Amino acid sequence: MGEAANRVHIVKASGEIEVFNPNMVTSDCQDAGIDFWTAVEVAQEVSKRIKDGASTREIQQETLRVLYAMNPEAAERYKRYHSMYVRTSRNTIEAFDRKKIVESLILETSLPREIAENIAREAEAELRRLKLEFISAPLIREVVNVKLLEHGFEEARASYTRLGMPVYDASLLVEGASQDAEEVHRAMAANVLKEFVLLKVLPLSLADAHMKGDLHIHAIEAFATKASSCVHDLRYYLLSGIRGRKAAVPPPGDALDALLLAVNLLRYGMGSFSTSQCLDYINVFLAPYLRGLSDAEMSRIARLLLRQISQLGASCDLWVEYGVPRFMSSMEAVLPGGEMDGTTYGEFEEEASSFALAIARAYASGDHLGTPFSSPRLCFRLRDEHWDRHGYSTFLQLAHQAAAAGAEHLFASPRGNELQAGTYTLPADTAVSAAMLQVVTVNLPRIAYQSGGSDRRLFELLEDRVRLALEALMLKKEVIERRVAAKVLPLLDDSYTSTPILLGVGYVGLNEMLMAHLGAELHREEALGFARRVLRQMYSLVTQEGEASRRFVLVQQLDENPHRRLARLDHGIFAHRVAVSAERRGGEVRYTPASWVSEDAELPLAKRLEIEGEFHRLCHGGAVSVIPLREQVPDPVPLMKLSRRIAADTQLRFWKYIREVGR
Amino acid sequence: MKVRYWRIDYLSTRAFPGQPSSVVYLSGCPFSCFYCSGGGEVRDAEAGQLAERLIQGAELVDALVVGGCEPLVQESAIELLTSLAGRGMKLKVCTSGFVPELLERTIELNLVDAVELYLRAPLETEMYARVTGRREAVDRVFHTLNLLSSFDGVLQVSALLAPPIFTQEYLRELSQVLRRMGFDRLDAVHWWDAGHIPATSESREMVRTGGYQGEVV
Repeated sequence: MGEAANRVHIVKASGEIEVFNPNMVTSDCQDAGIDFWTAVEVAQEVSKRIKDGASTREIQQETLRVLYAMNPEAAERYKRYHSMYVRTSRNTIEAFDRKKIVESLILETSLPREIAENIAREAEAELRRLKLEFISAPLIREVVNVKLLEHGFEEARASYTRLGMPVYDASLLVEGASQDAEEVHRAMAANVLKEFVLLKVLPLSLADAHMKGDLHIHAIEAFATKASSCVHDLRYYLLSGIRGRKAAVPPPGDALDALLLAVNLLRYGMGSFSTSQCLDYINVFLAPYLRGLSDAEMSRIARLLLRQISQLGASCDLWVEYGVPRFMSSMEAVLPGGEMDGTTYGEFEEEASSFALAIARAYASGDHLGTPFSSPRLCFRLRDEHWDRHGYSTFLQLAHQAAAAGAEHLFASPRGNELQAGTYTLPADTAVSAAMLQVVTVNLPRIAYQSGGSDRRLFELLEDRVRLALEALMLKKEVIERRVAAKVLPLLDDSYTSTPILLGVGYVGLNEMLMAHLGAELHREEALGFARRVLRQMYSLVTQEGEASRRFVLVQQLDENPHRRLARLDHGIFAHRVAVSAERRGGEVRYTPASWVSEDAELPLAKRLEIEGEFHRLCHGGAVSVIPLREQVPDPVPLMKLSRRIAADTQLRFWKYIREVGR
Repeated sequence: MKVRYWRIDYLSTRAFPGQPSSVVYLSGCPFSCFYCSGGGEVRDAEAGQLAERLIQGAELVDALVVGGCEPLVQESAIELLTSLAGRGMKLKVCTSGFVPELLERTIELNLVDAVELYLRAPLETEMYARVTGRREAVDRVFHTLNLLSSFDGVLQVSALLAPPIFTQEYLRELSQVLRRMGFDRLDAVHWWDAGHIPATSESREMVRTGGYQGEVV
């Protein structure tokens, strides 16, 4: 070809510029079934005619003109062949080119070129048969995927398929009145990531177990990207500041700085934790920054703290307790400016109590319009040692005033020497922080349906399912460790080796499992003994894995309502059995969460909490009991008395009140 | 003796003033108030056994309440209250005021720490009869109010806060009647809402701003 042609540049549909190569014209003609010599002749003529900056479309039009002049029949063949255009995923319209299918198959799957070319040829034939002028890139993929499946290349299909969501679902999301733009974006992204995890990250056995409903992998959309939740040790950041990727926050010098650091910590943490974050002992760790502040100033700091966190749009827990817990009073305090001079937290008892009171009061007042805060959730730890402290009753009354008005406050009571970090129960001598990498919940009723009444089979299946859950957790641990090594998880990158790491096995529907297997509910004596065997077996299987700093734990995880999803799936397979065991409320089938006693059981509260509290002891990853209040406006004073009784007279670790008016 | 009852609520924060309590709802109300949907399936139990069940189930609460629209219509309610009294729990009985004789016995035997009287309508014969279906009701309620004026325990009066029963006049008259009867030591006027005939925001506001003691629940 001539030198002049080599200097001509063309602009492709994608916007890329490249030197014109006449062989492209030859190849395009041959693809359309034109003989080699005619094709060469056409290419030479086109080379002479095109100008610098011509588009690929102009080149095709010029080729067609040359062909019409030389051989009208060949021109018609060329026109038919190249009249199929593709709307590409790069938002361009380009002429269909089979070679692109071949190249993408080789790049994205492990298929050899010969097979890729064969698949591409068959897909092209299928597409041309449809006689469409425009086809989309997703349509091409769908057709290619069908061809891959026809030839038995299932693995290649899983790699080559597109991720996304049906237009109908997307329309519902976008047009749904309740969704703001950010939620729409998040939901769509979550959908794609979930498909990605199921197709590419999880082995088929685990993906199937989740989809079929043997297990529920919580926050599955974040399985490949984030850990689940975290209890931060604020002291670490008060001492060293936060080293963000774009900017660093220095150790705070005063109360306002410290408050902003806490809020920033949660904001950075959103990049690492998918489900929730928690600041425990917040009033204790901020106490040194509050010395000398008036009550009004302290109230302002409390209000600001709640308002700032409420704006984050993330699930956050703030734990407060009245003053400095005894085990923490001799701990060296981090002081303003990140100083440590031997002063202990015990010396800030007054500030810690006053700030706890200020937080409870600010929460009970709601935001500046008086609207209750939906986030953060406030969590109150009740200890025997607090009971005689001046102001404790007021503190508790404020907490229960908000709970009675509908706030989902969490209440906790540590038992013995155990250390609580958020809702995690840790060995007494560890840090007050921990990260839960992942929770996988086991569907207990299904095990009962599948065991056909045989105890032996039930325990075999239970072991299989727990081991499957552990396999998923091991995989998650590897995923997170790779991401920590790549330094793409803010906060977790620096603290991964020093923070206690938890991996949680959850469970759902113990009550329905017992009904299906024994015909008796959890609160019946004959079923309770069997329930203990089931949970002890799970506890033993779960806790024998891991090591001191990387612990596998049992957990009662309630996010995402696995008790609904798994009951619905079971209903599709074991309808005749689910009908008798699952609770039907408001037209939906659902299981009783974890080891809760059925809401319908007419059981004294003390007995209900005694049964549930027994299982809390085994769930070091967290367990919360819910106490329904069936009055329109519950009275906070009796509620406060009840909480004190629960703390003193039961084994319950965590509880909250919910209003269920009309039941 | 058997006691007929609808259900037991093992936790209430409102039934006994200031205390977490358990409530047993006895059946057999003689009234047929147009707004009342009844209490559901009726069960029975020996009074002593029911009392034991309540006591055993009350580990986390400080008070027991024998409620229902009118528990005292059952003679066995006295046996139940006797079995519950003196067991270390505060005890309350609710009444519609229709059975002053049994309430009198309850008070004489010093069985309860608290009484709650549910008023159904303005204290006027025609209106009370129209609402409850019992012509003699209002006389019995006045009899009950007389009895309660010498009761030295906790006393609550509940009144329906819903149209068409509730009016400004009703509120004024009720308040005057109660004061006339000597209820200046009334612990709370407990305005309630019949659920399917909800109180209006206006009626709630009237109670709030009218200077009347008590709270809207």
